[in-house]
Amino acid sequence: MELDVCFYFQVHQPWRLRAYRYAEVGSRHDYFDEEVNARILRRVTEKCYLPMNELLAERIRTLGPAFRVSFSITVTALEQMQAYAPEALASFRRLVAGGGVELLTETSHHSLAALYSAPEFAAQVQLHRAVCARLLGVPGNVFRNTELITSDAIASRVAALDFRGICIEGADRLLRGRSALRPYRFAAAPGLAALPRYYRLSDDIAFRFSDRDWQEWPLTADRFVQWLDALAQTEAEHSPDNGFLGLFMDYETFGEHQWAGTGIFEFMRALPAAVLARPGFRFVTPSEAVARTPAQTDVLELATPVSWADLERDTTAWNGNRIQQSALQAAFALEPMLLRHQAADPEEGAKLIEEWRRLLSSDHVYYMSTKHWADGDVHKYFSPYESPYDAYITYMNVLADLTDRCGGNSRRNPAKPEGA
Amino acid sequence: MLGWEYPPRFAGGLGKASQGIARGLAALGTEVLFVLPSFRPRRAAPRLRVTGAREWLLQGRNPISSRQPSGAGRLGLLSVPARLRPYQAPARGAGPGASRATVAGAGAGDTATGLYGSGLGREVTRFALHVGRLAARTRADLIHAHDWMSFPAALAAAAPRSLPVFLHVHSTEYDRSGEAVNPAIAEIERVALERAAHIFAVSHYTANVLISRYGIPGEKITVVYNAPDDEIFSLDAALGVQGSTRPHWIVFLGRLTFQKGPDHFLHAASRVAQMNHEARFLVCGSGDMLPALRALAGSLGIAERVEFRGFLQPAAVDRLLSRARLLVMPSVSEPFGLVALEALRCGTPVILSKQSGVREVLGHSLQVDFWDHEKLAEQMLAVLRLPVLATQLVEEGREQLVRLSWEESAQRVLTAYAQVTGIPTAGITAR
Repeated sequence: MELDVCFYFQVHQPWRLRAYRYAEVGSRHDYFDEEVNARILRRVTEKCYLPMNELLAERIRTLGPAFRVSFSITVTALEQMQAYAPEALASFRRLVAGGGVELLTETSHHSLAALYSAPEFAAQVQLHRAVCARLLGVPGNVFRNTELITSDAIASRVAALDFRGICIEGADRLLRGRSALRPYRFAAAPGLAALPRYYRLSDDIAFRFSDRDWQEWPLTADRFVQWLDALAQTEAEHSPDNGFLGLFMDYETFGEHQWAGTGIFEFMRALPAAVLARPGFRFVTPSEAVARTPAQTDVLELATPVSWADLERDTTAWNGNRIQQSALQAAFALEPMLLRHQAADPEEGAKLIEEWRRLLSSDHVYYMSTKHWADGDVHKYFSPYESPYDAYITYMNVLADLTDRCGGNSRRNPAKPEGA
Repeated sequence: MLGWEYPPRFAGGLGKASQGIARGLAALGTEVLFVLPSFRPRRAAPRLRVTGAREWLLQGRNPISSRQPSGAGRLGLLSVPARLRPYQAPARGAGPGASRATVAGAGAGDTATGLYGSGLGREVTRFALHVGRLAARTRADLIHAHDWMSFPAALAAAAPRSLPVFLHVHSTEYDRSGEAVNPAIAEIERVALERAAHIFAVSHYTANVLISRYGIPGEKITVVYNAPDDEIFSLDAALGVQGSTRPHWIVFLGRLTFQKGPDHFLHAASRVAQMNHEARFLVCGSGDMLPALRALAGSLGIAERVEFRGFLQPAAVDRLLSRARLLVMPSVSEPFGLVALEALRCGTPVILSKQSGVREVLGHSLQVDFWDHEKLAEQMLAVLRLPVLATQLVEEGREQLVRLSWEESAQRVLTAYAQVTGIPTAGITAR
């Protein structure tokens, strides 16, 4: 059986907040932690972006157009590269210019606008395309939503923005026993091809690669390709069509989550040639995969969103508890106020909207997740806060100030507190 | 079982916690006689009797044992697994130090403890002497004593038959006094802890104190968490969460001593007062810091916003916590912190000192270093103005709360008894 292997790497960095105190509301408007953001971006640049970009560029040069990959890079990440590590941005620009690299479109600020505001969602999609075009090159016609959050409603919205394909999580709940090794379409949006992430193999690289308790450790490129062989053969018994293998993961997997010492770079250096050595195996970009998706194919239906997060594969990592819902509600409630402000004062309005959008990055509410907090896990690993509650307090303090600045009246009269 | 406080005669969490353990053991089938210095004898629950050593001695015989068909002498000062006989089982697990040696309290006497002259020291010593006299007439499998005041008595009780001694540490001298320890009390703790067959600590925080301050090997310590009082817990359904309709009362509840950090509470309160004109700060408890705290409130300019409510009886505590917006526990060193569980029981969120044991079981809570007044104030303000935060803290805190129970804690105690003494507990645990 023929197998189309599609690598898509997610590059994202949020604008982390500093410990903004309630006493500062109304007097200070610098919300973001310059020092921490710069430090993290420079570290990731050094450990991941530069060496991994170099590795991919070298493989593309050596193997020619047969090897290709795709990226989705958020505007928040691009702007932090500009501010803190211009060499990272230059490196990505060279990589994209060299060919063999396709860019995906997403929301500019890695937001949850798809769930909370259709106009803001459309605005951020447009902004992402514009910024990518300016800094890197024009993105293709395939979309990926924040954390692969997808539903019927979101698919329809994405199709209405003229996209031809969307990356989705190959969640069992979504596929219901069907293969995660081929593309689908949405019943709600037949013009949109759905490219599933093959989560087991993706996570073998992204999460399990360095786990010495994992029975497959240490994983080699040859072994990985043997698995692909076996999968393709099994799949061929069920379907005569091409197989599609979506290997979607955070780019920081390479050198940051999986340190260089784990052998992750050697693995990735060996993998492309090992794949191409198999007859019928090839690399594709998302656009190519979409183009190869039959017009008539199995359709998906998805009333509630799936994502690539946690075991639940739903959106509860971002809106599963009261404080998250409260924060999201308060943040998106600012939208009409900001638009009015912008109409009255375009320059100041644009500035406020950019700060607001930085607050819309899904990371801020992810830090407020209490789902597995007490057990200590991946949420804790990524959070700059001591607790989800501290994340919420800081966020609400910042929102109170931003509300003030765009003419709202969030400053509660101390004698008459909010919600009293 | 030996202790110093037992409800309704108690001043703080020690009595409640001692009661919880005793009741939990009895509920699991263990025969428990709880002896404290002075207490009107009573049968507190099936298999659980409580008496004062003084009352027992005055009557010349065990006032409770006479009601026991199987007769006098069987009841010890002790926790006796009721279905576990024979009592002749030797105290295999007893450490060498516990065997018929002189006992700090009884043998060494007042002068050796260095407490002579202080009322408390006299009482501790007298308790040990009384218990030592009673011990010869009783039989049991082991001794279990709560906190240093009953440690000398425990060693005295264990001596005649070389019974294994289990010490239950609810607080150490280093928690109560920081670096300014009373050397005599620290010595009592050290001697007893070294001689004990096994030690229960109310948290890992406390276990670490025992390891670092007293050099106790970690394997000799079992952590046994306290639990909420489930009898009152069920009432709480009627109280509801209701956070946002309550007045802006922020409560400190505890002895007014260095250990509990009431001064840190006032420092943070002065910051909150500037930002929230409605907030009132209720300081509940008595202690030697009261005059200094009044003066501090004055110098911080918040005297009119602070109420010193004095010591509150349990019912008054429940009433207050059910009306307040927030409880703050800014302890400098808090081995556990039962008051946090009581607040959650009443639907009141809590801010916990990071220097506390209770945070180990209440991960879903606001936590702060007691000295970080700015952050403490930040959290206090947030709970007042963000009702959603208060609601979620209470809901998630209570989810963790219901996983704690005295029976489960007692089960851990029983397991340690069995491991140390070699007496099987299978018959009990099956209950």
